Amino acid sequence: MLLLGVILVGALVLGPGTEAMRAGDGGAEARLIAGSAYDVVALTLATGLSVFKPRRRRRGLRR
Amino acid sequence: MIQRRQPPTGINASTRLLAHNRTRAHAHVVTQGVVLDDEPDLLLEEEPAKRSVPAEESRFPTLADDGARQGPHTGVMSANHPLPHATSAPSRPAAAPGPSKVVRLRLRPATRRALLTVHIIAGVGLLGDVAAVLAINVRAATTDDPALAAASYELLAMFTVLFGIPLSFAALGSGILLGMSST
Repeated sequence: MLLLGVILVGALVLGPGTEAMRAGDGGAEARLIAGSAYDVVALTLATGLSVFKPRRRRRGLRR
Repeated sequence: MIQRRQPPTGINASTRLLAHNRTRAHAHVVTQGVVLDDEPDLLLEEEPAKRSVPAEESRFPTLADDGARQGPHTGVMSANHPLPHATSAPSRPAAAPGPSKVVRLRLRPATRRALLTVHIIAGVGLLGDVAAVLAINVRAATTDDPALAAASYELLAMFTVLFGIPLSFAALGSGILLGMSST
């Protein structure tokens, strides 16, 4: 889900924003920074969840 | 008093193994407070071994592969993890394909390891790519030099085409394949 979110943000926010800035329209700086910051947070969270699995840890504590 | 049945002599090793397995399962059922009077014969126990085991049932080990497996399902009898042959039903029906059929891939260990390597490389590369995109965006938004800002946005477009799209789809595809092949 996080990876799908990253792909969707890249296709719907970062791509059109970059094109708008290259064309000289401007006004997309905040969107670009927010979208790329979301990408960094989502991918860091996905990497962390791939290493530390909370469901497995809870099941281990129950035993 | 529990009377344990001894397997008849002259049978092959697998039947003997099933008989031993059945004896342990019967002892487990008795400890749970249920005594089976009409316990099925050893012949019924051979039937699941002869038919092809589906992928969902292959997770439960028998005594034959105790040494090959490690982890929580080691085949040791306990109250929490009885063997599948220890059910109290006289004859268990074969696993019929239900409406929620799970598709599983069987990959060789080398293939799975290569796929995992591709997934990790793609994921870490994508994380580095979006971190660089964030840094370039911040730099382009805060600079006073219009030429530097224009060059930064040109670089962003190149980053997207060169790294972002291939790495994200590689991570997605390898992740789906790994998820389908995991138990």
